[in-house]
Amino acid sequence: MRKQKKIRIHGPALRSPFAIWHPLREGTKKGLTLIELMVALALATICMLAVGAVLSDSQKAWNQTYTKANSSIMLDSHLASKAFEATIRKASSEKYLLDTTDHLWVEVYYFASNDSNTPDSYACLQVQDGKFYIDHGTLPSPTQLNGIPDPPQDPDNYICKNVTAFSFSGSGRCIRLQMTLSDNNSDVSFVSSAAPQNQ
Amino acid sequence: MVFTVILVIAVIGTSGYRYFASMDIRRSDSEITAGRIASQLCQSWKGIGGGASTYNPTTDTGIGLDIESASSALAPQVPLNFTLLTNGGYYKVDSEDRTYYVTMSYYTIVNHPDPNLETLNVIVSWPASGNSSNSNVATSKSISLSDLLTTH
Repeated sequence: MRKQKKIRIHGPALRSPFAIWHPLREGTKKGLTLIELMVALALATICMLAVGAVLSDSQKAWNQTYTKANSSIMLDSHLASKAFEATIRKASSEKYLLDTTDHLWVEVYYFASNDSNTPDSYACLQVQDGKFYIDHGTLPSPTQLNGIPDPPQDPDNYICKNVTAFSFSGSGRCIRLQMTLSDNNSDVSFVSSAAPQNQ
Repeated sequence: MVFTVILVIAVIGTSGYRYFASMDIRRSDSEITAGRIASQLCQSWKGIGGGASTYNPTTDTGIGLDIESASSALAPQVPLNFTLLTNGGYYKVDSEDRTYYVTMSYYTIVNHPDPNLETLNVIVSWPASGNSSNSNVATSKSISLSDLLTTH
């Protein structure tokens, strides 16, 4: 039976580090075999893959947390909450209209100028087709309150979209908005409350 | 030998990185959730209109939280001069496999032109270790949120 010869790679640059300290190889075997080289490369590859997997996993988890705090629906929920509070706080505390049956809309009233004795403009807050609208307008006459919400004046001028659940409610002077925004990855629910501050 | 040393260093390094990254992510996640719970409770409380003491978060279905009454042993302490809600004031919220403890109290502001002004306070606490699935784990991290309510 023919004996196979081991292929050896000689040279100072490719000398195996094992030869430095291994007593059996000292002086007898210089360099390293192709098998040793392949095993070393395989071990190094496994280590690099393991480290890469850990780093990739950490990066993925970090991205998930960042998305949770800064996703588009999270920013939209902040925007909707602030817009709701600003609109309600500037309104007249004399009167507001609320859909007490289905809690689908609320309408608050304003004084258009300092000379106005009665509210003569309005803001209607409603959700149409998953979009949150705040429509401003002038009342038909200063004494006639616009109790029925019209469709949004400009369908493209909305505060936020992706609204999947909402409810307007009121108690005393306070008006409360509960809303849930959803996208493919997550849901964000928030509650915002405010009271009209103007006389 | 050299390869073994390098391998051990690499393993320890990546393990440490992974451990601290996971811990930081979990802590930040807990703080985000606690902030949301405090905000939702405070805004819901503020929106009831009536007196602060009449609010009961366990019956307010609009909050969207899994909330129930809890004992005072694990919940945060009430701030000085504040009064607990009449229906208990200590609550437990389960969110994303974690338990948060809530203390809700109020303070009626005196010597103010508006006699119907009240300060609402919500404190949310959770275990710093992040492992709060066991409801008996002591809490050590907390956030506090306050807001004003006009009751007329």
